[in-house]
Amino acid sequence: MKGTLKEVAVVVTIIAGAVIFSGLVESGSVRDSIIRLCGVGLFALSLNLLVGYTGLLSFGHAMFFGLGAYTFAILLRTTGFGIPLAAACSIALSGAVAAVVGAICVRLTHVYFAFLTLAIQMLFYSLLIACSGLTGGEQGLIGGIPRPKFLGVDLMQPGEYFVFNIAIFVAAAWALWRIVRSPFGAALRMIRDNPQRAVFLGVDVYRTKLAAFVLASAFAAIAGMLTALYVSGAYPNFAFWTMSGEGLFMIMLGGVNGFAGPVVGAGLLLLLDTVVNAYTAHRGLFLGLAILVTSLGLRKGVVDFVRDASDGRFASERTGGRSKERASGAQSGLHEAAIQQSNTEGV
Amino acid sequence: MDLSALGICAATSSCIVTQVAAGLISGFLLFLVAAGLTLIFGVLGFVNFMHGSFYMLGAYFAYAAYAATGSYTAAVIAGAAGVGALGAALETSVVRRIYHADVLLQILVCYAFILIFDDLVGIVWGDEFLSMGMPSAFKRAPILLFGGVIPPFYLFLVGIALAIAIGIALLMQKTRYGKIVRALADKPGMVAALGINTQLVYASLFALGAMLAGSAGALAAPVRSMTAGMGFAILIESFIVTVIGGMGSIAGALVAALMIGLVRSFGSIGFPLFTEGLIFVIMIAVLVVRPQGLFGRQVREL
Amino acid sequence: MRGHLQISNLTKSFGGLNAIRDVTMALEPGVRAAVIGPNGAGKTTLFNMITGHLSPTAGSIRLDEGELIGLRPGAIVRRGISRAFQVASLFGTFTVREAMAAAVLSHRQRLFDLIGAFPAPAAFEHARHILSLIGLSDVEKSRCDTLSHGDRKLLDIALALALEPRILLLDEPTAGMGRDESRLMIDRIYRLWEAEGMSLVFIEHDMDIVFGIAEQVFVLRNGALLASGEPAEVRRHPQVIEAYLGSAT
Ligand SMILES: Nc1ncnc2c1ncn2[C@@H]1O[C@H](COP(=O)(O)OP(=O)(O)OP(=O)(O)O)[C@@H](O)[C@H]1O
Ligand SMILES: [Mg+2]
Repeated sequence: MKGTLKEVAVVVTIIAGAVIFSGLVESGSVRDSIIRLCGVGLFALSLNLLVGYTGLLSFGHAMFFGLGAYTFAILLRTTGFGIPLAAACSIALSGAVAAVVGAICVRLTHVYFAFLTLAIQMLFYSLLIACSGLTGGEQGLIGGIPRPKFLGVDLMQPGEYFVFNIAIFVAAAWALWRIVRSPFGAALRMIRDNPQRAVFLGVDVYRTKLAAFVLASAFAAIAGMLTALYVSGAYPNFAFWTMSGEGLFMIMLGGVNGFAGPVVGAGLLLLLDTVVNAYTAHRGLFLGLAILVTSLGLRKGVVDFVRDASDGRFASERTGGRSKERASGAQSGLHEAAIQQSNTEGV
Repeated sequence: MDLSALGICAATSSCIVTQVAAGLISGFLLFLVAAGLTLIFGVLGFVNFMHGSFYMLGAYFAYAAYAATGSYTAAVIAGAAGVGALGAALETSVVRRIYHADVLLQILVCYAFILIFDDLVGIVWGDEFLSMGMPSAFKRAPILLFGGVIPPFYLFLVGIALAIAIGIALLMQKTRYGKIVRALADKPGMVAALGINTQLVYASLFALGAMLAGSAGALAAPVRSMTAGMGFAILIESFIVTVIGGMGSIAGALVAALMIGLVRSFGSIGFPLFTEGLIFVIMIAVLVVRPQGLFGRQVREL
Repeated sequence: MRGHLQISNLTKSFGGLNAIRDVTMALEPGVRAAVIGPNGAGKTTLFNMITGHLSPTAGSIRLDEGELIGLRPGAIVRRGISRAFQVASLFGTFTVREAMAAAVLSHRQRLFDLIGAFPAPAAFEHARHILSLIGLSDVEKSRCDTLSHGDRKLLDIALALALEPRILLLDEPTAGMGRDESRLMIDRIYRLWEAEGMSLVFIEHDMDIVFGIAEQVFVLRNGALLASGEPAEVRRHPQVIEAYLGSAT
């Protein structure tokens, strides 16, 4: 209870900070970057519920980012729905689709899961392109998304729009924070660490994974909606595989330790993007090289690296070996170890 | 959906022949790519998410060699050998370091290479669709069979792909190399204990897998248009093939690839919009009913 | 608290190998039973079938008249059978008391709670009770992957205990331990049995331990039940002496 109060205080403080900030800072570009980070950061956070907390390596998460964005945009454009109703419908639809996709995918482990989610995402992508009447096909939904007033909030006002983004982001992140710290979150980590043992402790591994998949997808849909509002449209590359890959890279960049890592990773990637786009048209080349350098060179997230390096200065003996193992092993490595163990034991 | 068109097609031998021919060549090309993927997975336990890039690079290498020499034979050799060499280089420099890393790292590294290769192809060959054109040797009248038309190039493709498939089967079943590889897949520790250079075997096998994908890209160059990013679709398809056929099973890959080729070819007549979906339905049905795939060995899953 | 386990004509083959052949045995509620036999005799395989991880080729396993075969492992756990593993099977990133609290919550079917805090004080309390019972209180804040071998084995058992089983299956609880450590382990297991009163089935290689604590002994060899009965009976069984104890006595 005391913890909850503290958390509420933090959430309120951040939102109040956003209100003050939007009053003080006139620069549109800083505000825009933060708004963009709200969408992308939430996407990375939601993906980390699967990758980091459950050990489910989804390579198709962008599908739900895209699904949320498109549904939201289409509803706002073609129906008279207000923003709350359109958002609720988009989340519900994304969750329902995730339940069906997840029911098939979460039976599989490891690489099979990664590949199947990737494949289904590509099916969804080709559907987006094919149903051009509804989705605008290759071009995407262009021509803007209306932002009707609701509950006294006017999203046409830059200041209110900025605070709205912060508020949604913080509320969603808080919800995710609560989830990973709940008994359900513990069940997810049990499955990540040692699915076999979890089964023999009576954990319903299948249903738990499925629930995590649906939840993560719903939060990805919210991220997609924020982004759709920001760019005032929805584009096929929202649901393209590169978006899923970028999500994984953000998680990697931000480090596997700590809840907020993915958001930091998203920020770093946006920064990198800005720099790369300023100097060259060859984003893929540079992004690829950056990924190779971080993943092969550091073998862990930049944040982990910085933290370990500064730890190491004081206690290199203690953290040296172990933190390395933590960084590369704490995620999917561990559940691999668990599976290996179950194999050798012949259970 | 136009099932009557499918019915009409099924009633005429000419249509059946034409569609079967088209289905077989895409099936055989797909098989070459998938065989490489499944070989690498079966022995190295590594799912090569950049396998589609090998296919793409095979096509572009062939394009370049054809433009330089005018010889289709040279083009195919360039595609296959070039990608094989690239595969060997990648294995020894990067991939071998991540066999035992966690899947997140493996996926990210592959993702990085896909981005890099796609961008490099764009830089070298431009963003336009390229097409190599039909080599003059095959510019002759199509063969008529039961009223259906079969371009001579199709026959050549099927013949070559079949020859490669048989070659791989012989290599794996009849040679010492094949024995070592099969033993490696089962008991790597034992093989290492026998004093065999397992690193060399791994590298050569990865190169072989890459070469298969490269040769498929090169062989297909005359009948497919090329663009950066073309490898991704074939990656997904060959994954579907390996899932249906069973990860690690070459025979399974052959059957599944031909099946997908034929489904696609006939599906494009009967239900063009749903063909893609149908292939997914087949894959999902296999995954649910027989998770190890049609020809795969039983895997224990919780 | 009933818990009568009846295994009848149980057979399991892996390809050509009969890991368990035609085994019939019964366990009364509250009994302390040992399963012994040389390496590869099929002891772990037997446990795997009772807990639902493997499905038998033939035969039946009944708990209080209810058939267990065909049930999923989770359902068998709910019927009151839990197990510890030959190689301790833990949750690396959890602390000892977190792992225990998670097991307690799982038993109470509270893991689908998305809102509450983990670990809740109530779950903690029960977790700590078990930890003190088994003697792990002083490491309760350590991470599982930093525990010593003996503590790992103990925690594995403690996790199984959190499910308040009627039948507890222990696969070689003293594996990899020295003589003194083994004694200590067995002593703790005995005290657990006294406190909780569940049936206890353990696989064990050390004959002194077996004959010291078991009320009933089952001898497996090459998958078949060679002998069973009270320790004294089994000890006198000529085939057992020849096949298994020959060198030990
Ligand atoms: N999943 C499996 N697949 C194939 N064979 C198996 C499997 N599990 C066990 N076996 C075989 O069944 C036989 C019995 O194995 P089991 O593990 O039950 O022996 P055990 O009595 O527990 O031996 P130990 O004392 O070494 O633990 C062994 O020959 C083993 O190789
Ligand atoms: Mg055993």
